[in-house]
Amino acid sequence: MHHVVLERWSRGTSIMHRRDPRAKIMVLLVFLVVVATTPAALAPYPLLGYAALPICAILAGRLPVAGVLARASLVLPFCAAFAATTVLAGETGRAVALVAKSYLSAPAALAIAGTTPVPRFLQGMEALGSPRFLLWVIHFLHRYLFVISEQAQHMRMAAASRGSAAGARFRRWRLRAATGALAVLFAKSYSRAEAAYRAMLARGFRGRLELVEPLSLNWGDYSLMVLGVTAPLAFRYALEMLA
Amino acid sequence: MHIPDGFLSPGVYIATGAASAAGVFWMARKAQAEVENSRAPLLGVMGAFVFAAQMINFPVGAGTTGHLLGGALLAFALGPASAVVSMTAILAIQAPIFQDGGVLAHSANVFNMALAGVLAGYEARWFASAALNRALAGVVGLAAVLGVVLLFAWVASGRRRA
Amino acid sequence: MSAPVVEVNGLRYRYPDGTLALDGVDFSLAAGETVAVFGPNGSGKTTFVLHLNGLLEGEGRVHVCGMAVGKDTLQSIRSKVGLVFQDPDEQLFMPTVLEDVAFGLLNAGFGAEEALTKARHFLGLAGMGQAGWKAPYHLSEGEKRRVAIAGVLAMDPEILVLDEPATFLDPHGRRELLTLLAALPQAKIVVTHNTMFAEALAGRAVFFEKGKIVADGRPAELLRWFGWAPVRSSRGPAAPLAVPTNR
Repeated sequence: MHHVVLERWSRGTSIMHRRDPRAKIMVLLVFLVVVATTPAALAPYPLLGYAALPICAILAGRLPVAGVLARASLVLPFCAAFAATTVLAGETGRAVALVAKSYLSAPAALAIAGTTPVPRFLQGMEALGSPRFLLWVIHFLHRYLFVISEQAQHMRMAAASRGSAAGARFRRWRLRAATGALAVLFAKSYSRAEAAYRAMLARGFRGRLELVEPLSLNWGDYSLMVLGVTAPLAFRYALEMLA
Repeated sequence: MHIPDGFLSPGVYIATGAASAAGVFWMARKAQAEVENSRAPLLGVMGAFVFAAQMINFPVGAGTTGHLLGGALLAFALGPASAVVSMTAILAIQAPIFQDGGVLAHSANVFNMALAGVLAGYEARWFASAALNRALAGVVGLAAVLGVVLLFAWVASGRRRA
Repeated sequence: MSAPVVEVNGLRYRYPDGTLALDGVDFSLAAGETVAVFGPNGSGKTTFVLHLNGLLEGEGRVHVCGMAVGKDTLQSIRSKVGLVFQDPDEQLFMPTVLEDVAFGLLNAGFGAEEALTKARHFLGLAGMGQAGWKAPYHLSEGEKRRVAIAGVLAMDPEILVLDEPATFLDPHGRRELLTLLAALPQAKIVVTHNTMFAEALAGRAVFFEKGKIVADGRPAELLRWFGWAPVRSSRGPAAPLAVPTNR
């Protein structure tokens, strides 16, 4: 499944994996902002030069470059429609810039997500001041995503094994069956949430969740931050000089 | 399918960012106040449910509609404030892990999927159920949600071109 | 015989939907004793054990280590009674194994350093010392069970309550769990359908039926009495179809 691959990537031990999540998040944000604010009119093709940065990060993280770029292309369908209308309006350069900007951002996000396990990422977000409650919701979502997806998968298989994929004649029935399955899944998820909460209470939960693994910035993190902030800015500056 | 990064203009990011941050912050406080204990497990698990629900083969269109239905369902089951928080969490997981929607564009996605989506679906149902029967209310709610989302997509793209 | 660590008299509990789940349960458990809890599905076993930890509150008297279960004793009772739930996925919710084991300790007011040290100790005790920074979803079912037990042991309970500990485990995992549990000094209440597991672990058993304890005795006797004794292989001439023998 989709997130399983990323999960496996994020468990590596490369130089990128070992960086503090705060440093990685900051570098990612700077990159995204620089890319997003680059005016589309500014030399559309040289824009692709930004790609060097995420690719360096992917290599440093020992992630498969082709795999990351392929996954990044998931953003393309969304841009494609808008790009197509722009091309039809005779602004090919602008369309290229639009697609390039969207497509460039995805490998950058992947380079960070692929080298940072979700819990560490959330810890970094918390240290950077994101609301705790929301982060815990995200954590629980991520924790039970797999469990509940698997349940849904089983239900789907069970339905298929009784011939749910039959022809369109039974469309109405299939809708009814799907609605029923959804209701069951909903009820199961709800009771799982209650059970998890009960298990928390059973161990004396008093309304405060905390993590114990400490975060610390070292020279590697500082160099990443310096590099990650100056490189996209320098490239942007070069682009503006060229124009 | 959500808005990726590098797509919107800085103005839209800033506007939706401010609106979403304020909205979600307020909703998170409301959701927390709804019950005295932490609701984080419930909201998280139900978010996972909305994800997983997409795996069930619905013979109608998938993708966006699945999310919107999920958002509306959460709003009815947990209350709108909790649903907004839950949807925000879903979008936050989707951006980096599923490449569905951007990291910077998170605020814009939260704005139209979580805030506008959930509230439009919820309010429309609430509003309509007095006069019409439930099924119709659901349809109206869904239509309202779709309308709002399209509107925002249109505004977003219009701003970009201007 | 020492004073009982758990004493329950006339416990009744009705679910909000009106179902009477417990209908006058009397039970007692001595320090260090291991009791198996048998009974058909829906007979009230799980509902019963949730009362021991104050997660449910019914009518009747529930005393744990001499304290009545109630609002003001809840925190200390929850550290006395360690509950290991049926599905470890519900119990392991922290990002990493070590943090999960430390969860209860942090709730009990230990500092981060001390909680981690203790958590490591109990993980080692449960044979999971090497898994500290793993995420719970990377563990096998047997490993999850061990971590869940470590998380409960870390709270230093006097009574361990295990709800269906042997489910999802292969025979090897079951045997390992058995060895682990047998070595623990705590009094144990083991809710299970697994008769062999119960017989190997418990010296005493109670049988639930329709919200009541209808029998109390040696596991083997109870199982024979209720027709729950394991059916031997019906294949081959040496073991004919096992029908309860009338001797």
